[in-house]
Amino acid sequence: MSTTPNGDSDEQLKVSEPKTWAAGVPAVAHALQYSLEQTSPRRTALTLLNMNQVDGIDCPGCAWPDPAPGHRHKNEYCENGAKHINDEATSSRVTAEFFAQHPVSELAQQSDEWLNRQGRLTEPMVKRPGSDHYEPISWHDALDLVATELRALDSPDEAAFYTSGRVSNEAAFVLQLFARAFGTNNLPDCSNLCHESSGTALSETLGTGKGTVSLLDLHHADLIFVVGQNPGTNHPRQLSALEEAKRNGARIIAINPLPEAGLFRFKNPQKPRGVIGSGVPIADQYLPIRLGGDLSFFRALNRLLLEAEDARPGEVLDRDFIDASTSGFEEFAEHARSTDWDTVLAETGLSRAEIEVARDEVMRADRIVVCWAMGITQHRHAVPTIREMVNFLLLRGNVGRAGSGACPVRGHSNVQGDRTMGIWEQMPDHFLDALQQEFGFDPPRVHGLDAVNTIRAMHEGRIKVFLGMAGNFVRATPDSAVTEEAMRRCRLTAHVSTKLNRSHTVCGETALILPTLGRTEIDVQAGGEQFVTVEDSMSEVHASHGRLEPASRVLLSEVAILARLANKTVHDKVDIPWQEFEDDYGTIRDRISRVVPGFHDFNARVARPGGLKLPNPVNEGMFPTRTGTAIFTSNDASAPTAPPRHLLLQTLRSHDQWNTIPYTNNDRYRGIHGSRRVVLVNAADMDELGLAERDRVDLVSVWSDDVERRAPGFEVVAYPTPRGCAAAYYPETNVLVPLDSVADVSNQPASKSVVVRLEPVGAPTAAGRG
Amino acid sequence: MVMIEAHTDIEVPRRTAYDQWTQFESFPRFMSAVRAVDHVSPTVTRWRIGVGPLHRDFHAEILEQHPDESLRWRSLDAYPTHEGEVVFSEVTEGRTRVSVRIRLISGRSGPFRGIVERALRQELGAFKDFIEGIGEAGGAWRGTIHEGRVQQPEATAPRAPTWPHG
Repeated sequence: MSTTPNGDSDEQLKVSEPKTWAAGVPAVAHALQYSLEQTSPRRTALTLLNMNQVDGIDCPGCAWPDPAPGHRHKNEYCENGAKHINDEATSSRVTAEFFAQHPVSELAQQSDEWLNRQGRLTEPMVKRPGSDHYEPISWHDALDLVATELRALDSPDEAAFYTSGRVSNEAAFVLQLFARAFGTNNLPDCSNLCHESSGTALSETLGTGKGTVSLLDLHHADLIFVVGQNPGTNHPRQLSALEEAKRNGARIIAINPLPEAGLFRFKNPQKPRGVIGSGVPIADQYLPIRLGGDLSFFRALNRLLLEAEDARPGEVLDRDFIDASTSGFEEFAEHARSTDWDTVLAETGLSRAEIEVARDEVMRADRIVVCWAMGITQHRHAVPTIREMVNFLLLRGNVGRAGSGACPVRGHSNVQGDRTMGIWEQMPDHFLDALQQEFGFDPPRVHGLDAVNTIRAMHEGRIKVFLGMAGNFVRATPDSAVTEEAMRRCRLTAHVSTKLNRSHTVCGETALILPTLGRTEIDVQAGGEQFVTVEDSMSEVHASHGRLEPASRVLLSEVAILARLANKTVHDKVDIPWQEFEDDYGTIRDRISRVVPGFHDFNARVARPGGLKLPNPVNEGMFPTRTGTAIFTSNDASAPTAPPRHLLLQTLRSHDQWNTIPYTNNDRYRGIHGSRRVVLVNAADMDELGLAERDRVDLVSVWSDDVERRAPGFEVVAYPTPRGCAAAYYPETNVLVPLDSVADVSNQPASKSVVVRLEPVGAPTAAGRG
Repeated sequence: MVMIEAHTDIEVPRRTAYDQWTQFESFPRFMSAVRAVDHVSPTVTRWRIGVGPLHRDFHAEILEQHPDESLRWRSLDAYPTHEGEVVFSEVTEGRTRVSVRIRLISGRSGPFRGIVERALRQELGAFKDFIEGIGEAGGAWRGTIHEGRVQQPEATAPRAPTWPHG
């Protein structure tokens, strides 16, 4: 069982009706309230008015793209972005005195929210072996310590270098260069946890690892599928794009086990009708699918389209496109025609009539975009599900044309860019060849470890040094008890961070906190004021300029930390001008321009307003797959099932949460207030399980290893989710996700459809909706 | 619906005229009403057109593009909606006729007819003056687009990373 704290507070759970619309005036009010609690009105204004503007700060909140320069609002951000950026701009500080007062063992008992609330980290700290306190250490000694530990390893493969999506392109490029110069490809990243399944499936079928659409495609689509995604909370600015699409006449089909507020109506707070009016409706059809039923849904939809083509030959499918640009159609079609309706209806929980209505919408639409997020990617059968969605797009030629395409909606702001920069344990030889040619050393060719395999290796003692670039590794990853034990078995764990989080408290024998500049902050180096670049979810690469005074005078930038560490570690192995990189990030971009395809003249092009857009081969008429065409696939995987008296659990974020960090215990859109330890269950399932509203239960997951994984003390709340399904907040429920429960092929943790039972503990508390 | 047509004969080879036409970003250099053009994707361009302090932005999707022959597009925006086609034909060797046809589709397009017609004639004349003056195209995109999709890519290898992105 995990030792993770429960995050309990004195607050009592209050439940109200779930909202049926997102944003509006409350979103502005909540954003401002949180921002002003964190920092001054002046800094709030400075951050908000610079967010996502040309020459401003790229919002670290999410990877949603910005409109073209000249088309942006003065307030080009959302509630969650505003909260996130001012969470970083907070006036609170964590100092050496704080660590003197709070032993590590005590900090490990605090909730994620409490740790975050303490403020910005201000100076390097070390926890020595056997000590229960962090104490100050100079930058020189801290980086010497890491370098000494790394150089003492028997093999470079005993180290792992984790990257979170906050890291800029420049820092990511330097990190992968350092890791490879050191001699390892152990580069786990947060992509492994979010959209690895998307990249895997898209590469195989379309020959591109990224989405194929731009904002413009969404604006001009006839039909948009929003599948396994909660834009109102996780990508609120997507709602503006959906609003624009609706204005242009698009239809929207939302497929999700939960009726999320943002799927139904959007009150755009930037427009009068969003402030005083009723806003715009979003979904024209909402399909409350059972967890994991998406593959079956798209198989059924594809079968219906094939049958429609049989009835009206030449009118339904894009035969010209299929014949000229795809392969595998006949095998796929034969397989799709065998789709069993009984299985489809059982796995989706939908009626055939509902799926036929969706088919009719598809038949009326010339241009279709499919958007998806972690409601799809975090399933065991995520890769076949995404392949099947690609089949669907290919049938009517919905790739490579304006207004159509595949849209995996990514989370962290530079998660896509970090992978573009080479943060991947399996980089192809042509990238490593380019690295070799540019820097004159032979990068290791043996594939490294992803996030799940890094945890296994730490647990087994094969990884001894862990360096985390941003993020909160122990809370972002599955199987919390195993992961925490794995971290504690390391000789050294070091985290480059802006704020305190649980990964600093669950640490190796020696632990380092290396505090760094946030993206909001002015970054001055020997070569003058610097900017960094990031790549959004739609392959647009642009600059981000810090605007605030740094939280502390002794913070180093991510690039500076890495450059100095690299110099101390591999100065005698490779001849790389690390100091030059630290002095002038433009010199890093020059190197990127010669190593990474698509970045020629990087410095010049990224200086233009709006930056540069990386071309997608699919939109240039190319499918660089093994056949040189788009590939139809046959996908057989069946949806997960739960044994009697068990449910399928999805882990999810609350509205007042950014990645692993809750800001409050409220989830306004879902009507949950005052507690995060709630489990949302269908009322009929509650009856069947003998549970009443507010009953207290432990969540216990079931897995083939028979290890008991328990998340204690959750209150049951009746919620309109399909029968057999349940939902509860992450990261509190990560403890339930077995490390071995991963998506086939992509090895992404399967944090959806976790089989759980609800074990009652104690007497029921006061029930009823308040 | 309103149809507007105009043509001009240009004293350059057909390929030269066509190649220059594919360089949309250069249009503001010689067309007075075109303020800016961005190539958003191989098939989509963003245009800013204006007179004096007034301007309007629209996106155009290229539906058909066949080297040295023709190019057909449609406006992606709901209002004012239009479709257009430009055809390049060889009059004699070294002399090319560039014919443009624009169909205004929006219901209220009638009043625009005169303005669009005059602007079209003027801009075609500007194109003629420019390419005849320079004598050769300042670049070329030689790909083919059919039904809004690039058919024969110019490049033989992807121009950006294709490895899986998680």
